[in-house]
Amino acid sequence: MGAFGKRGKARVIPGFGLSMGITVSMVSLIVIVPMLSILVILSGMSLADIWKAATERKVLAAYWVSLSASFIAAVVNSVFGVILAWCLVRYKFPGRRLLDGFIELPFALPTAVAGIALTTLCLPDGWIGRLFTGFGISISYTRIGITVALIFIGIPFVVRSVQPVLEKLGPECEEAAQMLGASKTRTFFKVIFPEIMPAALTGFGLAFARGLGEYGSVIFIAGNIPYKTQIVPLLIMSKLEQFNYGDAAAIALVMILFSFFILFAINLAQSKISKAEKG
Amino acid sequence: MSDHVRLEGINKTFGGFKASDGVSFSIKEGDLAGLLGPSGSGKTTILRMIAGLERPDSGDIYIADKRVNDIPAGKRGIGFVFQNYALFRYMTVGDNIAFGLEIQKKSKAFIKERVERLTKITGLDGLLSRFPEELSGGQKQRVAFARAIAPEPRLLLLDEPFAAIDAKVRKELRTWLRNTISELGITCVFVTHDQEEAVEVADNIIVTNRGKVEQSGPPSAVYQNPATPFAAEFIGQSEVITEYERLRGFPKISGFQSAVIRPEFIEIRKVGREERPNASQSGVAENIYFRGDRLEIDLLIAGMRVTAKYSMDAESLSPGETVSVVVNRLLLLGEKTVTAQENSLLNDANPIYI
Amino acid sequence: MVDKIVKCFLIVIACAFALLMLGLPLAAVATYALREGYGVFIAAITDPYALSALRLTLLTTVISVSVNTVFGLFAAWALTRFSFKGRSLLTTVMDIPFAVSPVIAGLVFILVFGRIGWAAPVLSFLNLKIVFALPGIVLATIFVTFPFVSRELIPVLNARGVAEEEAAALMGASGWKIFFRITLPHIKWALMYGVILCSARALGEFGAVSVVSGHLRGKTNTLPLHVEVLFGEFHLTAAFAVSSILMLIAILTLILKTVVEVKGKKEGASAIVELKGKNEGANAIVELNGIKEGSSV
Repeated sequence: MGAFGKRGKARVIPGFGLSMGITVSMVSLIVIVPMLSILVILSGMSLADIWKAATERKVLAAYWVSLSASFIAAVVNSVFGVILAWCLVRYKFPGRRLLDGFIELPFALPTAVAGIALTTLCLPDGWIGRLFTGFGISISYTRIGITVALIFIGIPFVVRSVQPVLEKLGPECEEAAQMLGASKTRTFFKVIFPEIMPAALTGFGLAFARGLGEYGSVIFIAGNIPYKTQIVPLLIMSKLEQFNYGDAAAIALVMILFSFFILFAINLAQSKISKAEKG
Repeated sequence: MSDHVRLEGINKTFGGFKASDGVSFSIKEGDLAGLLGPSGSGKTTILRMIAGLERPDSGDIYIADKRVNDIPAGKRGIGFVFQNYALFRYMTVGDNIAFGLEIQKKSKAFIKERVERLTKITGLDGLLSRFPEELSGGQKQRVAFARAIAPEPRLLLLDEPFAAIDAKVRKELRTWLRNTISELGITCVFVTHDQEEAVEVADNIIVTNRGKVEQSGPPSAVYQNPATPFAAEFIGQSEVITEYERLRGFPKISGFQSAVIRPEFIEIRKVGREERPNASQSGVAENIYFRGDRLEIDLLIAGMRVTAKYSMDAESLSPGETVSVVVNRLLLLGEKTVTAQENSLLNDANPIYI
Repeated sequence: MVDKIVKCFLIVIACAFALLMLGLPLAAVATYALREGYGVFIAAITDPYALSALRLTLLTTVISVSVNTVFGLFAAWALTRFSFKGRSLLTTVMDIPFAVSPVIAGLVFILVFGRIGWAAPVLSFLNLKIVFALPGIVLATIFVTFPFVSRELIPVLNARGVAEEEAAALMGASGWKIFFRITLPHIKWALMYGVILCSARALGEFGAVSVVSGHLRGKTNTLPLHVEVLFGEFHLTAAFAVSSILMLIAILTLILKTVVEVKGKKEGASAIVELKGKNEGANAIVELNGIKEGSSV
């Protein structure tokens, strides 16, 4: 590489060629080429076959299970995530630091460990399952169980999205609103809520997208009953075990589109919100 | 003395924005030159191109008669003081100053001696083991300066060297920088948007606007005889008035639509104390501000509002008082030219020009 | 008074939720691991299959974390020290592994290197085995942890700007010298943070590895897969005993992470605060990078 790039921008700092070379080759090797192989294998199938594979009744049911459970889990996490973030930022109480540190447990704990722990807890004779069997509710091997697992793995997203915003907001805004005579609830919904809304939405989107793809923590508790508790990643897994790579790729593509759509929608909503606030 | 830096027909665009438009000028060896212009005028781009941090789209840059366009920044042997100093945060003051010498693989003893000498020159004694975060703005500036001149460059470039320093220290630092640079005898180019700074520090100033060089020359010459309407408006405490023919002694000259008036062109006297009544006209001192060594007056004259100054020693004025005004001089602005016009009535009556 | 009630109420809700969702699983792992006494616990974690799984997990983690650290440093350098066309596209592509399911991460490597993969003929010609072997496990792990290091470095470097590096380059310093003397001291905490997160994820990766490993006991079973096998065979205590090792590692990770965070905040408080506010812009995934830890893992 010369001292200057093509567009006349001086590359004063050395290492452009080397670092770009390594970055681009690694990205191609690890991400682009493998991801493209989904399209490669699909290109060998007819559109009708792809459509059939992606819209089989069992598959449609799995989409529904995955989407609904992830959505509910993300909603639950949004509510508790905002409360958790609020308490962590605004209140001082014993164990606050410990709680703060443990928020990321679902990221640090291997999903398989979380999976077997939650399953054991929720089995009819488990610590939690026992409480519910009395009411005739079973958690394990139902969609409730799937949702519980997805709540677990999604906890950190909303908390960690909202927390920095609250920290930056400081109590001044609230104090100003109260000086103007606004009530506490009014202050929260008129002043604080709009501020943390975009961050909460981001956290919601991330939790939702993560929930769709989650495998390890869910499979143990889900029980993998077709049409009932079979989530999409599990379906892909079983297609693979049947060496049905084409179907697996078709379903995978739909999944990827789902995730991108969620992230895109959240992003769009966010920019709408921030525009509305500015203008 | 010969030209040390020479730019010939430099063009540079960023996206659609023309940052340099046919820029040519030269700076003599040992000169202290100031690139002066409003923000966005392209002055920093020029400096960065000389340093090699940007590359011109066309045109040539010569340093010591050698074309340097294709020489990378690190090989041009230029000292550069960044606007926010860009001190290495994780190195002590001493390590910062020694860095350039280390790169040149100088001996330890040499580096030590040179760093010590530089700390003496820059008045940083006792701060060598501090980190940049622990320094005041003025001290940081001195470290940046010491670091830039440590490898003994023949050419030193400074990007807005005083912008981040508070007003009081700035004055002191300016004088210091000026003296130090002339002692070292190196050529020096600095960028500033502050005309007072440019006028005070530089041997020569280069006025830039919209990517073009408007005028260059010694500060006094640019101040008194601006070559372009922009230079006239930008330098000094200038105000543009359109109906200058309403001022006594300034008949309308065709081709000159407007004029620049500066406070020092205006002479205010109490009514009844006029020295040259034939050139006087009445005005109203609307507001009076105390400016330390003088008074500044919002003057309403012939329906135009201009700024004038008034001596502290003269008989006091009160706000709203009607006063007698003589305008000695105007800079008439043409399309592309500027003419200094003396008050025609004054010239007839009084041969002594004030 | 009302304030106090609201405060207590919210804290109770928050703590109850955290205790239920975070505390209980931990307690369950510990309890079940030890319910048949230490003897069974020790036997489970010193089982030859468990030990070979541990060895494989550690080997995979070391390799993939090293690769991603080196990659992350180069990528962060390229993406923050230079401006070039397609920079935001590159950032987005780098983040894809975060957006796809781990199962898909495994799937794509099967599609490349598996029996029907387009690289299969080359592999059989070279007599190389990737899928259902160590290379496949390592590749899948690298994939799922790909952006971990770079995404911690990029915001820190962006927030700081390039002035210091430019100044050093102007004095003629080489790239390595600039990196080691000027850049590295600045990003060391962020780097450590990224490495910790990357390691935690690599140690615990399940879905992707599950797809490409083939579950050969004693050969291609990692520790999380070993847990699955034990659980599936109703060796509950053994499964939880092995899990408790992983849990201890997780807790250690959280402690280390907090220490690094606190240290990093002390040194570069301004940079971290700045980067929290800085969102790169239009792109969905890039936008989501704005949150520091939110989207990690």
